[in-house]
Amino acid sequence: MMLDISCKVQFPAGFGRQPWLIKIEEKKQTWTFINPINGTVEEQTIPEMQGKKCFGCFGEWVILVDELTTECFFLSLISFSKVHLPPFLLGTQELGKFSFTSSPTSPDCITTFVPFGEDFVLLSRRHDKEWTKMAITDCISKVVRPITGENIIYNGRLFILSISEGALVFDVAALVDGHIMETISEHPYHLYQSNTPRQAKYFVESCNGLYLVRVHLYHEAQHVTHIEVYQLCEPSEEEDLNQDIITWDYVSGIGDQAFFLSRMHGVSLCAKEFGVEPNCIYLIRPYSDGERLYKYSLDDKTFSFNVILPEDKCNYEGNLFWTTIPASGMQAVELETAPPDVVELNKDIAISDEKPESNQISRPWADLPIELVESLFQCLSLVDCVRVSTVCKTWSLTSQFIPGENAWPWLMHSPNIDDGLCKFFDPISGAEHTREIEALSATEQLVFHASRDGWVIISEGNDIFILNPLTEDVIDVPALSVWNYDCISFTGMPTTPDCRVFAFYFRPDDEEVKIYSWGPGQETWTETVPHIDTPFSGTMNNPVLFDGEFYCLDRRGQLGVFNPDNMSGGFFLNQNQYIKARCLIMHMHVVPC
Amino acid sequence: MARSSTENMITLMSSDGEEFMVTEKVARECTTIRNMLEDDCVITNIPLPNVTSDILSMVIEYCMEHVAAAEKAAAETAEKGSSSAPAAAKANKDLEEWDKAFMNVDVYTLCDLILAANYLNVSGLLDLTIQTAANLIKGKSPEQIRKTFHIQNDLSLEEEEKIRSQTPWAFEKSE
Repeated sequence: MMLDISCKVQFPAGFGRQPWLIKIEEKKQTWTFINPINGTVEEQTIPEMQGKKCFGCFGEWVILVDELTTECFFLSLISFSKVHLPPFLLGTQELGKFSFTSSPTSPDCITTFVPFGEDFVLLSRRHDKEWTKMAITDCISKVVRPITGENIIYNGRLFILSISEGALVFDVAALVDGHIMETISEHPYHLYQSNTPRQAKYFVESCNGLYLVRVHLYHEAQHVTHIEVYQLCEPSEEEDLNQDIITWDYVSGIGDQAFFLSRMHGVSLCAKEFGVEPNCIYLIRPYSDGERLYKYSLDDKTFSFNVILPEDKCNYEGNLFWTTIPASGMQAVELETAPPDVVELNKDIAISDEKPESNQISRPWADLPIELVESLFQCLSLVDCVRVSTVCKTWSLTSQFIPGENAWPWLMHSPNIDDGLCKFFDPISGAEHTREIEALSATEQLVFHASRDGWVIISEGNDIFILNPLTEDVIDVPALSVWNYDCISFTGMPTTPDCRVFAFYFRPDDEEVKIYSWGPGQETWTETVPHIDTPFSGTMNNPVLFDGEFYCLDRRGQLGVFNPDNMSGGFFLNQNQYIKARCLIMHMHVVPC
Repeated sequence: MARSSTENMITLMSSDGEEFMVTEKVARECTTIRNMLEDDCVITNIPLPNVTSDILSMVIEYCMEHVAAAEKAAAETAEKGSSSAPAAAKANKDLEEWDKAFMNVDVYTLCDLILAANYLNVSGLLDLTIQTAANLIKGKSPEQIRKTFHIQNDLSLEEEEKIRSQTPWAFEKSE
């Protein structure tokens, strides 16, 4: 059935050639089309669509439910044909998610609706007059925790995620016939221990299999801090296909695919075909400054984001959807034939290209007095300064002026455990530098704890070492079990004999603080239990050395002070200084160079 | 003792013998000349053997523009009793635009301007030219910097390697 709205909808130029965002609000007469590449927003008035709530975009198909008439249908964005589903009697306020087995136009298509937090599933075959309601109460009791709304139909099986991240897996064809044939997937191994319980989870189907994407959100503000990807482990032919447990494997990358996640939906695309960056996850999340579009690169485990709808603040309702129309459907949509742009979220500082100039070599710049070359350094980053010093003989004399004190801190980040690659971000210029550092090629997760005078103290499991990332010098420190300390720091250059390393342990009942100390030349750690008179619940981002004393913050905002030169002086609390702050642990550290 | 009158004219003579008549106020933008005037109040003709006429005319142009901008701001303040913030901001922006356009020069002129600004001690012009040169360096590899400024690499391979080996992290992306 064709709708007469097709002629009225003018898609924005370039629509369909790349992933677009559509915002569909039932109370509005308009659909909003957002181009994530350049941030342009276009509204299209479609009065016929008012009062219809969108429950998701799947390629060319949009699922819409009419609030008043309970009409429920698929709408094709290519042909504007409708494929009707039975009337949706649950109401549009119901939170939940639709899935379907094959193209909605296929006679075998089965559509499901899984409401959030309920114990039933709605099913409908093509041309059914009403939804079939299947109770899955017994199955839910097996996964202990209630189900979330996240679900997907993959290879004829309906996967429903429980809060504990186990998934219930149903054979859809059997389910629609009234038989519950279910298996349970165990929850994936938690590689990343998040200290916040908030996570958003998405199933994403790609040409390589089914994925579970876990997005870690920090605190009430729900800032995205980390993303993990797991792949469904399919049993091979020889194995028993009816095994009860399905497992998920952690994957470090998604290859040539790019994932696009909005509030309730995830889609996977071949990055090359749509002109976006491969091995990246594009995610829409609301934040206090508006709708943010995050790009998470699985190559180096880094985020970037830009704000695409600054006026939409903290709208957690799922009314923003990614749409992607496969190339085969493109002819039907009238488009400008602009080549696909690469989604470039990082607007790097423009580097001026060299102007073509004559090859004439003369000396004026080489003869610039050295103090004037030096004055250039005030306007340059450390890396630029070093490069200047290798331009010519005169300028090489500036190497003595390369700032030690004036350099600003850099961010240091080791994206992968085993390859030893380390990234340095210059937060002022936005430049980044990658180095391979042998000491950072590890077998266990590396944790950067603290830095001082260009040295960084790093732990790899129980092993501890202090690294100078610029010279690659390494000072080994005796091993200390990770259970023995919460945080660790050191007092100065580890190449000097008076350097001391201190590890702090805060007992969980807050009644005791233990301090382990070590200095160059010593074989083992020395344990001290300083006197404390008030319970102290230390945090893990401690301690900070200032003016010869270590300062530790506790979770209630108390500030503990410890003087390393006076061990017997104890660990005393600075009672007057309550600090209202929350701490966030990140796998990054500041390195003052 | 310094003269306060702005009527006095000073003659500046470039290295190639050209004479430039400027008001004392403009000449005083150059700290080097201001110091001369304060040491010897009757001096009216100042030879500048280190500055060519091309470059001197540019330095004078810069000083005149900045003196005029300062005078205009002072006049507005006197008129209204206090300066209006938006007007002052606009004037600042206009001057910045002017500076930017003024810096549209080739690298040889830029180098001469740095030397002249340093010799005559015009701090605003020195900052401006140094910043312009720094902008040309940012993010470039040593080879690109040499090309931009037409500098020949007179370092031996060993010398270059020595500097690089001390700080290899600065070079990984440049080549």
